[in-house]
Amino acid sequence: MALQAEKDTTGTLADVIDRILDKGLVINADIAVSVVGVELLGIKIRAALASFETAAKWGLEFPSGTKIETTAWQQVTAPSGNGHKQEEIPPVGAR
Amino acid sequence: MAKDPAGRRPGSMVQEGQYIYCIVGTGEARNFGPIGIGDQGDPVTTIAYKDLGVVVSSVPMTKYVVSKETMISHEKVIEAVMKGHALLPVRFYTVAPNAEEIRSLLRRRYLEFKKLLRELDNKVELGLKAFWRDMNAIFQELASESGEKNGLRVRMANCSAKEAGQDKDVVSDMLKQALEHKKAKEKEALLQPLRQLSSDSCLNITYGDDMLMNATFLVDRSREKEFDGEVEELAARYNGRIEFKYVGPAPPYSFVNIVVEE
Repeated sequence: MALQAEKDTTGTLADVIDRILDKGLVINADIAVSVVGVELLGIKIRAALASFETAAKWGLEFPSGTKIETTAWQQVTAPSGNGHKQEEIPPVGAR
Repeated sequence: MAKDPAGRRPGSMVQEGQYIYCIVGTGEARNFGPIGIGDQGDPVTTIAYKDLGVVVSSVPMTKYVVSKETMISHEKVIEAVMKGHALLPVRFYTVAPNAEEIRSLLRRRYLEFKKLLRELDNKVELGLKAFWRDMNAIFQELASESGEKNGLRVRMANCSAKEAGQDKDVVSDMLKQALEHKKAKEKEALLQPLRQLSSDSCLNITYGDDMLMNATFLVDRSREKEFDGEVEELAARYNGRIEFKYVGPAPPYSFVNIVVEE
């Protein structure tokens, strides 16, 4: 069986994007035009990125709280949970 | 690319600035190739002060373009530099008007930058995200764990039956709280062994119901293999329940918290 947590060393954008936008040295001095640092922009970028295929699944989903319409919710509230499994998540190495 | 005395590209009326990627601990001139942001083949070079360097390339000082491509360029340059240098990554899209301003920044913050570069030397950032595989099962656990106590299960059932507005919000909040509590509990168990192998760790915002941990660790290169092994062990222990997304080595974004305000 393939390793469950194989290390991804290719540095896929989806995995470091929140760090590029939110972390690192911030220069707000007069000398620099730092366009990030404005939270609104960060949100805008995330929204733009949310459409990227794997990104949405792996961390760029908005923290929108618990969605009452989700399948999971409905199955909990259904009289008899049918134990239906969610769509298989692709193995880490496959991306 | 040749520029006129005002720092403009030929045929362009737009002023050019210096896009800043990162700071490195060398004052020697370096050229990392024509991989600059903006897709114009701008060379990525260094601007030095004493034994510090800032890695830059030219960009027009116009409206920035936020796209997948610019972010990938930013990341790719830093990764290329990382192969040979300890570095302090600078946040995405920071542009200085000219080289003199950059040298002045290095002069003013010299000791601070040197100190942090020393601390980060020979260390890498490793990212580990953890996702519950089966949210149906997690929600069912929530319902049976907290449900009996405060009637969550009953209210959930009622709520889905009548789709009531206000009740729905109340239940949604309760569920969200219970989920956060569960996340925190399981996260601690994951973090405990990993913290022992790292010099520092950082917990980032989690996105979505299924992500229970979004952490980055600062790990000495000599302990990276050991850390890999611990992640594999966790993955084996939680096989079936938790899916891990393990990425690295990355530039130490999470462990550079300097803000230059003036």
